[in-house]
Amino acid sequence: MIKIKNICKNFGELEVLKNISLEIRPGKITAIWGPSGCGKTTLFNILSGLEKNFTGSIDGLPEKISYCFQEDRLLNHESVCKNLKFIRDIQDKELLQNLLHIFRLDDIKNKKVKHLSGGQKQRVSIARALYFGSGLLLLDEPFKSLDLELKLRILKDLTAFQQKHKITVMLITHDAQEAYLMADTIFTLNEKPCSVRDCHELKTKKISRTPFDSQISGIFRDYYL
Amino acid sequence: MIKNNLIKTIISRMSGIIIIIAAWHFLSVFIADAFILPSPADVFVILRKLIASGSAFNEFKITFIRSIAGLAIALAAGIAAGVLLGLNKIVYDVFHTIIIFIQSTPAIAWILLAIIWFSTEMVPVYVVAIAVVPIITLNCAEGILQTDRKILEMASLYKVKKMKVLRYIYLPAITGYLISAVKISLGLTFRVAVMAEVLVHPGSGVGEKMNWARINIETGEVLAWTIIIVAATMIFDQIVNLIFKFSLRKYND
Repeated sequence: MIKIKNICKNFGELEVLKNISLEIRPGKITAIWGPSGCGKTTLFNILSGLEKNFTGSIDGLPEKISYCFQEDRLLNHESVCKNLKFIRDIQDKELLQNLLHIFRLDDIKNKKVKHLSGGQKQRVSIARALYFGSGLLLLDEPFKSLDLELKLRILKDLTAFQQKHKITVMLITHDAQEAYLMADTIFTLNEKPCSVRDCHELKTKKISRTPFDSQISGIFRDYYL
Repeated sequence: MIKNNLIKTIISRMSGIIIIIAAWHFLSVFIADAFILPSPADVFVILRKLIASGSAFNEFKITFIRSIAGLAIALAAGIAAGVLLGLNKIVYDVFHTIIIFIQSTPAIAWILLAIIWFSTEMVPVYVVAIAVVPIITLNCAEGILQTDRKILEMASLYKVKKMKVLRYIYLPAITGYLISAVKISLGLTFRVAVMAEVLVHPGSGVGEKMNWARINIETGEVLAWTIIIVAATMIFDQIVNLIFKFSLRKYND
């Protein structure tokens, strides 16, 4: 279990995160849902170690953490395959092929990243994060450049991959549908400063959830009123 | 279309050369003194003699070796220093002033010091190196400083080894800066090497021959050697362009 306790973060006078406390269950998907610009990415930067100046404590973080950033952060002059291989010293051919297949990258695996569309780049970025083989995967709005059909297909495959490999996933999103379809737990956040509003444990099986489920409005009701 | 553009480029460049030769011709007619300014035709006769006797090739070869040796030293030292400067802010602040000092010092001052410090053979090499090092260093450092911080953050998060980071992130970032630095340096290299040869009398090289022609008031020969150096600089500029184009096709296609 990853225990995040009373995380506070200020940028000068601006209070961004206020007493954020979360418990992240291992092998599950935890979605963090909140309005854009409320400080979700700052929280991920703290968890990944990129942001070191904060107060509070984090226990149970694994040594290796994968982070799928909001921007793709890929090597533009290199191929899709090379971008995945770049982050590992010892390659795992089977996992590589599997990820290329899941993210529909087989046909473009030798294509240079600079020639790919935004959606393709985003898929490479998710595949790279998974190829790292870490104990915790941070996904920061990973589906924002994908069309609905592709998003739902990848969301399903990613969830299946996560369940099979028992990866602990934290997902940042402002898309209620994404959070509902993927997550085992959803934390909703307030803005200015960012604080935890409430926590929902989802009991229904993911396979029985649909994008148009009435439960979505149940969970996110307060925000849409 | 491409062929038409190529023809247009060749015609415009040839026009530039024709204008220079025409202006030179009219000026030489106007001055009417071959000691001060011989006509282009006279100079081309001398040039043909220099080429036919093998002197042009032999003397240029010596100047070329000195220039390239100086450039190679400058490249090795400049890239190493540039990487260090780019990677460390304190080192950058400390050495930036030193490099600007070196760059601002007139080449003649370095030549005079080199005459005191080194053997005459080594002076052109040393002067070329010292003239080019600041250009390579500052460009290389700038390339490192302009490297995408977000990509570096990604590499640090995934604990990518330093050699891989240098090869796949820093190298593509500094390549453009290095190309322009080498292009600027190439023209400077031949000019500075010849200037050093003129002043230190190393016994051989284009500069040495130019100096003898000056002493003997053979203006035509001075101009003929000048044409050789200008032509060589232009040819090597094109060769360097081709080399870069070939080696960087990975980044351009």
